[in-house]
Amino acid sequence: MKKNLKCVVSLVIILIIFFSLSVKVGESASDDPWGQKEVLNYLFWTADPKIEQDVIKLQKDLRLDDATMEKLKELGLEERLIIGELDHGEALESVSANNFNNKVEALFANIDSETRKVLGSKYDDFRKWIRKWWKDENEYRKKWIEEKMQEQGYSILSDYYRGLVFATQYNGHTSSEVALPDKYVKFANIGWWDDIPSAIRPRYSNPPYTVNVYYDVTGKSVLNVKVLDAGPWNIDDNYWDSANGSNPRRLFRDLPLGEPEAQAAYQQGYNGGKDQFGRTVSNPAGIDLTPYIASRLGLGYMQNDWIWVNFSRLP
Amino acid sequence: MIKITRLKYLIFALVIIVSVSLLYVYTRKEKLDLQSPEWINVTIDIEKAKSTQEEVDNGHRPGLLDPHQVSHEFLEWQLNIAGDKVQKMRDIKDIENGKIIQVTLSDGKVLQLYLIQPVRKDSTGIWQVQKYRFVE
Repeated sequence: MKKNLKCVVSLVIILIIFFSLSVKVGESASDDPWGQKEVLNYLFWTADPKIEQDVIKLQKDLRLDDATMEKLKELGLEERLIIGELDHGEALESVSANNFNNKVEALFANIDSETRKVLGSKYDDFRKWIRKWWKDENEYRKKWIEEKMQEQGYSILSDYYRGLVFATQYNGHTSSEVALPDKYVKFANIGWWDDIPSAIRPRYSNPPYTVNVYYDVTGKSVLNVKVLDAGPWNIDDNYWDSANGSNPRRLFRDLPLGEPEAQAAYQQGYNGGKDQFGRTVSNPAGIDLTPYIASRLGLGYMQNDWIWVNFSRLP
Repeated sequence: MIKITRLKYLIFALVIIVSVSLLYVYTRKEKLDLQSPEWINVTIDIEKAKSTQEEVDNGHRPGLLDPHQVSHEFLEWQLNIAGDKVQKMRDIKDIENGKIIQVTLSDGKVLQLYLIQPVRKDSTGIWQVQKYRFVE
């Protein structure tokens, strides 16, 4: 009898542990991005028509006034800049990459606290709304990219000639350039041959390497833009090359062709949500544009969006 | 008698080896002395460095986390030495919270760059050139 009781108790304990773990796994970063990724920045500073409608829906669903919406938008901008606050008063401090990520999380907690103040009693509803929106947005974006690719007659499984990627803005060496996360494209364009391994060098021997960028929303495009920097986030993620192609993708080979690692880390928590350096990825960018190139596409200052990139002039 | 002569030779050889080693260490130390007037200082604007670190923390220009890329960029944009003029680049020494990188150019000139991490000293901190000098 006692033996049976022991067995039942053990079974109950095991089940409790199992369900606790399941709940924890169920509430993973990919389900609730709040406090780990730039949510307000993506929502309020992406110039995509669907996301602009999402912002209107947020206001309507939660019955938020214009002043509250404006404050949330300001917090979105702060979210982008907040990681820089790590440096205030901490110059020359030695921290590990893990500590860095912990501090990023702590700083996102400040955004959370500010959001609570701004929203008051509507905070819990806002968090629920964000969780649902995040799930819907990820599903929508995946389908949207597939549909757009099909509309244009491209298959993600064939040669990645042209694709939709999230673009952010950076300050380049020149006004008219872009950055892609393959350092060897940059090295080849600038002539740093010594830093390209001899086995790889022949594949990068035909510079200049350029891209064409197109923005559907405005119908504007910029052609033959030179790749003069590496990034965003990664420097060995030639995501436009297949794992088994003539210039095989160097890292993250299990990701679908054309999907930047930063996008997968941001949207699905791929690689623990980290980049190749172990840093928490806070936006899904696969290309960086200088403000001049962004403005020629019709994007405003600090505005990001999904744009078409033609990769045919890359190794 | 033979044994004593051998011992003498051995001691003499040892003295030579130790002397040469000491001389090598001393001259090498002299070569890497960061206070030497041969080094040309590069002004680092700490506010600008913090702003650049901020950009890198937001995912932009991750190449600034790599001392070799930073050295290349310094040669290219600050000293107007084109990338294809660089024949070899190698780490010489980690020194005083920084790093010395030696660059051999195709015309035979050799220069050394002293890089530091002005904002954060770990794998997520940007590098910048603080001094450089031509050694050959």
